[in-house]
Amino acid sequence: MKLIIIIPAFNESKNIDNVIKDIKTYAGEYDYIIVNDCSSDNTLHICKEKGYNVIDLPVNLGIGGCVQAGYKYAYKHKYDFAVQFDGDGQHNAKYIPGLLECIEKTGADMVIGSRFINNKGFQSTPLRRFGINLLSMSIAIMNRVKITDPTSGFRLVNNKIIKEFCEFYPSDYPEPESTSDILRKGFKVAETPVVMNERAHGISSIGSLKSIYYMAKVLLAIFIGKVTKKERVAD
Amino acid sequence: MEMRLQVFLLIGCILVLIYFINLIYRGVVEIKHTLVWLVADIGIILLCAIPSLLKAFSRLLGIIEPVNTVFLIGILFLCSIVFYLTMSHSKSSKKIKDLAQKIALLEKQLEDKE
Repeated sequence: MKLIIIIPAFNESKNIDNVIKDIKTYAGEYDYIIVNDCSSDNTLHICKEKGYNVIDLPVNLGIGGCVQAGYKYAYKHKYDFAVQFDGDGQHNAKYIPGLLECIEKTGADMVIGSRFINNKGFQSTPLRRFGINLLSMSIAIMNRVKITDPTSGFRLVNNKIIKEFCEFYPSDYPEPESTSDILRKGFKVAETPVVMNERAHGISSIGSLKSIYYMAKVLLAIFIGKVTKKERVAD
Repeated sequence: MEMRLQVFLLIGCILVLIYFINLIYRGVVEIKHTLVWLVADIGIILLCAIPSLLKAFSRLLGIIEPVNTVFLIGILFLCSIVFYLTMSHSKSSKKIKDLAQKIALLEKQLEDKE
């Protein structure tokens, strides 16, 4: 079984070392790939110097295009599973075996690491939790599946979903939209509890004004969705 | 429509038409992307040159002052051009994204071989 950990990184020079250390300690047997989204700090320099496995995007694509590049790498190298793992230190590598266990036990195509099953660790702000609940409800209405943490960027997918994500992955704020997209296509999604940390350095990519855009965009995506045409996957 | 306005519009549109044809001739713009501009321009020239056509058209749409028909058509064309640009922009950004990812993956492959 081949598993790869995809780490999107944009200006994470302060966090990337700890993230890799965490992965090497708790999930050392798996491969990883850092996708540097054209960072303006020295993230790439650090990765090259320490010999980390890194892909460098020539232009800034935003989180969606960045993660999708990782999935394309996973598809190209025929990985069976891929874990999405933030480059900002919010996720803990020790839960990766738990995700794997869940995918084996439930036979799901995707397992989301959820903060809101056991409600432990960093729980985000009340306003954001309200937004997350709204998204969760919308996905439940549209797809008849309850997802407690649709915004979680910590998730494990099998090779079928890797292929789907190579063909279509939303460009910004992709997590809820892509989850709802694969639910609509008839894949099975499960959740397992994880504990997340508050980010150590840097600011969240979602500010106050942006969160209005976020909700509008993601809700629209969940309710209208996207009829994907079959496109050629980069080989 | 006022005679004076009619003449101004005609001269303006004809100058724009000449400019566009010149741009296409010199290969600065693609015909594909200027076609809708040319159609809009020629449409307004026709309406200005043949007042009876404009009047008939205005009556059909229930517009009392024929000059408003010219403005309405102008606005509709602008909307359609902006909409067309939005669509082609979406397509272009997807293409750029795919290219960037492909370049990054190829670069990675090259580095791994070294």
